[in-house]
Amino acid sequence: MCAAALAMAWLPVQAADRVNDVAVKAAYLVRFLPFVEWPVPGTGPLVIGVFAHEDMVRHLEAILPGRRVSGREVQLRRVQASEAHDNLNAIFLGQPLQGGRLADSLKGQPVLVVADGGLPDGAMLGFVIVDGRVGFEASPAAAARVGLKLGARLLAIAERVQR
Amino acid sequence: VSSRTPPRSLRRKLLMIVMAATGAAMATSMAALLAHETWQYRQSGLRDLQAQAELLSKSLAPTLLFNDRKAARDTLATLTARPDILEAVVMAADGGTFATHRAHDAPDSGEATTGWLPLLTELSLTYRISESGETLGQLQLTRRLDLAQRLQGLVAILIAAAVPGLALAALIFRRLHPKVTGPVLAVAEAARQVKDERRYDIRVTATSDDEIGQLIDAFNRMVRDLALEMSERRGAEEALRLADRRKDEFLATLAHELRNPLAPIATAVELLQRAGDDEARRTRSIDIIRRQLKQLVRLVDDLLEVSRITRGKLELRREPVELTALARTACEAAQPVVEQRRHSLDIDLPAEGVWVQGDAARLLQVIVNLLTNAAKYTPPQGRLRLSVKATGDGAVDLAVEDNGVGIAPEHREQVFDMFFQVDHSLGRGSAGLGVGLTIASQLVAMHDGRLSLHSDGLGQGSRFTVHLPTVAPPAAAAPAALAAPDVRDESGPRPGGAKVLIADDNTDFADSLGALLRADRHQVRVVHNGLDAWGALQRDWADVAFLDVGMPGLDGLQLARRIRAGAPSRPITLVAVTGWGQASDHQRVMEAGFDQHWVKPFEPERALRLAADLRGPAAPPA
Repeated sequence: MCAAALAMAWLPVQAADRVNDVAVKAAYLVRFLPFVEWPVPGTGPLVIGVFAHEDMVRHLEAILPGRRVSGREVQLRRVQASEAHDNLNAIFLGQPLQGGRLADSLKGQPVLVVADGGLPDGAMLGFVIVDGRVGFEASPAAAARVGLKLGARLLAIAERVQR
Repeated sequence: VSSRTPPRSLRRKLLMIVMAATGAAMATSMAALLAHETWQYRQSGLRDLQAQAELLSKSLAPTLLFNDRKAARDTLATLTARPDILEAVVMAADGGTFATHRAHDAPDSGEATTGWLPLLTELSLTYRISESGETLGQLQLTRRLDLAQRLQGLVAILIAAAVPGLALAALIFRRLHPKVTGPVLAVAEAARQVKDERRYDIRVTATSDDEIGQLIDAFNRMVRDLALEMSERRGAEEALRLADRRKDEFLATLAHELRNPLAPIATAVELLQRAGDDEARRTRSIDIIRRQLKQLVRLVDDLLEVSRITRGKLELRREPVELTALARTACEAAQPVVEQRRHSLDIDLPAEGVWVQGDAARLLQVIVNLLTNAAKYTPPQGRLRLSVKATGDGAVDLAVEDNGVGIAPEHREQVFDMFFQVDHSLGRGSAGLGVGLTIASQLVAMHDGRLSLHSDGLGQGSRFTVHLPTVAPPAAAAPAALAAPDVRDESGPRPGGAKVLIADDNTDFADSLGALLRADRHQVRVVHNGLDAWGALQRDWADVAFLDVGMPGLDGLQLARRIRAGAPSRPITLVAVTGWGQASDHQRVMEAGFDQHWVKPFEPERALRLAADLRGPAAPPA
């Protein structure tokens, strides 16, 4: 098992997501939430949208039921690029958004954008694989532009913080 | 002196106790202080670790959340600034070690010291790392406890305080210990003085009423009692010595007194031998011999009396006695010595009789003795006085007073002691043996009375008082026949003289008595054993027979029985003559049939009187 993990660690970074990585990312995605401050703290459920990543949806569906973050329920939304969503708190982009209603509806909105594979434009947190381990990069500036605040303790363990 | 001073070990012991107690108290408080300090130190260390762990866990929570060991290590690396934290271990929720940090000088945790030592040198804390209520893992912090260093200073301070503390205790002890040791040492010193120097006047002053005070009191009482006993013992020894000396003096006096009459007797015998027909010289010689014999007899009587009284062998024959008659008789008896010294004697007696229960002869002896003493110890032409006065409380005082030499106060108690003589300068002849007052006092005491002495001092005269309980007069108030107690007054005088038989193996005694009676014109026969006496009586009866009890052949008792048995109806007065005057002898003699029991030596007058009284017509003609 250990040997397997080591072997995997030596695989090219850009290789397709391994099953384990998606599970970790799903867990991380939920774990990001307590470290994020939204400009208007809501009281209802925290809504996480997942775009273009069925694996992630599946994993989230597995862990979310009953899971509360800061006392709030966490809901999962499978989102399409063609749809506008104005009640998302966070969104995971399986692929970069190339325009569309979804992108428009997110623009300027206090929605935590989590990308996969670095920090594309507009993404605030992005998963990276470092030394075979899932890590993340952060762009507090991008977050600040929409009024979000990334916790210092989160930034402290980010692989890279984009200024 | 210094070698005798006892070692002051008491003080040393007390000092040891005080120092030990003080040291123990100090050590205890030091230990308590150190324990408290240790505890405090551990507590503050724990609080510090707690705060540290809390701080670290904030940073460590995300690293666990996002599985960032490097970040965790980095976070723990901040502990480098805390060299006292030996080890920090982050454990993941699954129990695996997530990150560790070790101070560069930390001992290998694998070789952790065992036993209780880590408790004092290390402090460990396990802190739960959680985020939003989710337990992510735990943080174990171990820090060094530098207790030794921490306590080192404190111990130094405490020791620095203990030294002056003990010194202060010693100083206080020095100031205060005399309160305790002082009295004890005083008692010890006093005891030493009592023991070594035999000083019994030592007293220790008690300054408190605690146990030491009690000790001192007890000691003082003990010494006082001891002193009392010692002085009593000394007094007793002194009295014993005195009595011994008196006895020696008495023996000397006795020898002297017994010897005294012998010289004149010897002279008189010489005179008699050469007297020839010189009647006057013979008479004078005989008078001398008679007088000296009387003196000898009196001496021996006194001695026998003393012996009898001191051995408790004297028995009183007590009967109602009329005291005033007795007093008169005594005055008559004492008349010769009173007249000889040309004293005047006043007699003051109550009109009615005063009766006491007593032995008339003994009481008479007492009164005569007092009168004789008064006459002797009063210069010639003195004034004597005899008085009898009822005291009203059922008793009577018979007092004999004189205006003579008196008695010094210091001798008042001693005059009743045996062999005591106030003034040895008085001639031996008049002084006697010094037993008269002893006898008198003891005789009075035997009569339930008291003989007391009053004298205002030397030259002030004396008054002896016989205090006796009185009794009611007997129904037939006949005075005891004192004037002639031994006389059988049944026959009148006879012209031919009495027929007298004398039987005694002491030929001198028998012949002399016989001569005396013959001189009084009695018919006297003298024999020297019982059988001859019996034969003589068979040949010719007698009016009176003086029979020696201890004769060879037929002794007096057997002879008397034979006489009484042989002729129970023929009148004869049997007089037993013995050297023993004991009560038991008296009884045996009377049972044998004797009429009278005379103890040798008796006065010749007595025999003459008896023979004279038996003269009479009742006796058969010669």
